[in-house]
Amino acid sequence: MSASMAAVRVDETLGIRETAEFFGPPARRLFGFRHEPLGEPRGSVLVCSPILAEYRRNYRREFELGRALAADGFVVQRFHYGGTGNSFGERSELTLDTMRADAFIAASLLPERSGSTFTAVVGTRVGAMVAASTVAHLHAHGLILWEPTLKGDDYLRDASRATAIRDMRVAGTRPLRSTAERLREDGWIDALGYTIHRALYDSLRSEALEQSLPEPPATILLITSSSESDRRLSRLEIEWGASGGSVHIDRIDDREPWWLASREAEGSDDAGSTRGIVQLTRAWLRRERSLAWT
Amino acid sequence: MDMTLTSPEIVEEPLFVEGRAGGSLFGVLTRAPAPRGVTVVTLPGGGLLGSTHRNDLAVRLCRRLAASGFDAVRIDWHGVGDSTGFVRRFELDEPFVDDVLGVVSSLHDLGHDRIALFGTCFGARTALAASQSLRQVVALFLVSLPVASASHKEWVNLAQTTTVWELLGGRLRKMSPSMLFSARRRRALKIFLRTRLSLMLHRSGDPQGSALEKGSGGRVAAELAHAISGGTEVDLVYGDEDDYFADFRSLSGDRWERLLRDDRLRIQVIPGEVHRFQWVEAQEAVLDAVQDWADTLLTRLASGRGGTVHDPGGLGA
Repeated sequence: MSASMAAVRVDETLGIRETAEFFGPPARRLFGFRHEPLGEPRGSVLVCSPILAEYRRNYRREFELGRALAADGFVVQRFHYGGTGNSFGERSELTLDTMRADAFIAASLLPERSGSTFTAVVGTRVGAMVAASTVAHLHAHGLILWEPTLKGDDYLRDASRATAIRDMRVAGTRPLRSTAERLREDGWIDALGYTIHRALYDSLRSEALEQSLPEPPATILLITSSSESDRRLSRLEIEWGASGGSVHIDRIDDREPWWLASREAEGSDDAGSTRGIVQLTRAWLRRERSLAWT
Repeated sequence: MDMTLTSPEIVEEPLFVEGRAGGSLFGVLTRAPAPRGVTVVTLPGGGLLGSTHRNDLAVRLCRRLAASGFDAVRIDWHGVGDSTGFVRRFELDEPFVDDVLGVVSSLHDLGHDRIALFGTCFGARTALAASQSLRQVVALFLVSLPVASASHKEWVNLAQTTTVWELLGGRLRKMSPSMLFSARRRRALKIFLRTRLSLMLHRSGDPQGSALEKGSGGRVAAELAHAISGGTEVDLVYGDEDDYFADFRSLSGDRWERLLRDDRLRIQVIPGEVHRFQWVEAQEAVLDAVQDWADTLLTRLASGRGGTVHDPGGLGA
C-alpha cells in the first residue's frame, strides 16, 4: 500500500471503483469520495450532505447510496464542504453560499456531460438547499431531497432545542447564556458540541428551500418522515406542480433524531431507515433515467 | 478557540487499508512537515462517529499533531464512514483490535514503526487491547477509557437488587434453553452470580467496585499493567463528570491500587464532562492536553520512564 493524494479501491463483486482524494484550488482544498462503475457510466449523481450533527447521522447512508448507485451504472460524487470534515478551510467562513460554491467545484469531478448523460443531485437536510441550487448549474434531470430543511430557521431551532436539553443537565452548575449573547460575545455558539459561527447562523436565518429551486423545478423525489398533514410540504408540492415541476413524495415511518441520536452502541445496521431510503432513491433514479431516454 | 482547518504546509493523503478481518478501512494520513519519528493513530469512539470525530475533533487533532512534528492517521472503523463492512453494535468488551492491527501493519509498510495510539471511549478501549500485541506501540493516550461494559454494569446493578430466585422467576423464565448456549449470556450470568457471592461474603466495602474489578475492570487493569511494564507511556484523561470516571474511581482491589501508585501511569482529570464531547470546551481541553503530551512525549520516551499524576479533580489513591 502506498499513500498518495488519491486512494483507489476496486470492488470486483459490486463492479465498482472508489476514489478518495483532495481536490480543488490550493487555497481551498476539498475532500471528495467518488463511486463509479468499472464499465461505462450511464449517469452522474452529485451528493450534497447535511452539516454538523446531521452530517454525522447521514454519512453512512450516503456511502451506501454511492455504492448502490455505482453498481447501477452511476458515477456518484460526494464531498465535504470547506471548513468541515476532511476538507481544509475556516469553519468560521462556512455559509450556504460557500457550500454552494463547493458543490459546483465538486461537480467538476463528474464525467464530462453530454446531452445523453442523465444527471441528478441528492441533498439531505440543509444540503437540500445546496442541491437545489446546483440543478441549473448541472442541467440536472432530477433532484432528490432527503428530509429537506424547508427553512434555515428550522435547522437553528432543532440545534437550539438539542442544546437546551444538554444544558438542562448542568443548569445551576454553569452560567448559561442566550444564543444572542453567545454570538455577540464569542462570535459562535456551541450546539451540542458543534460550532455554529455567526456567518453560518446569519446565512441560515435568511434561507428557505423554495428560494433555491430552479425554475421550472426539475423532477423531484422528496423522501420525508413528515406526516401528510404537514401543510408546508403540501403547499410546496402544489406550487412546484403548478410551475411545471413533477414532484413525488415518499413517506417513511422513521422519525430521524438528527441532533439527539445518542445510540453510540449502534452500528451500521440502521436497517429500516438506511436501506429504505437508499432503495427508494435507487428505484426512482433507475425509473427516471429510463424515462429520460424513451 | 481554533477551528482552523487550513494549513497550507500540512499535506494529507487518503488511505485504504486492508482490514485484518477482510474488507477495506478508510483513513487519512496527515504528514508532519518535519517528522520526529512517532506516528499517532487516532481511534474514534463507537457508533457512527467516523474518523473525523465530533465537530471534526480528530481532524484538528491530527493537523495540530502534524504541526508539532508527528505524522497522524485517523481511521474509520469497519462498517463506519467510508470503510467497507458491517457492524451491528459496538460492545466495549469486544473491541475492534483487528482494525487497529491492519492499520499498524499498513503503516509499517510505509515506514512508520513507532506508533502512539490515541483513542476515545470505545477507541480507547480498543487502543489498549490492541497494544497488547503490538510491539510498535510506544505510547497510549486514552480519553474516557471505559473499565466496564454497559452490559457488565447492568448485570452488576441487577445483582445488587435482585436475588437468584427472583432472577430465575423473572428473566430466566423468558429465556429459551438455547440462549444459555450464547457466550454473552453465559458471561452475563457469571457476572451476576459472582456479584451476588461477593455481596454475601463482603458485608462492608464496595461490592460494585469489587465486582467491576473482578470483571472487565480486572482485564483493563491487566492490560494497563502489561503495557506499562513493556515500556509503553500511558496517559489517561477523564472528565470529572464522566460516567466512566465514576466507574474508574469505584474500582478497588490490590491490582488497581498498585497501578494507581505507578508513576509510569499518568492520569489527568479535566473539569466537566468529556465523554461524548458534547461540549466544545471539553474538546478544546482535550486538544490542549494532547498538545502538552506531544510536547513532552519524545523526552519521556528517550528517558524511558517518568510521569506524574495531574489530578485537580481529586482522584487520589
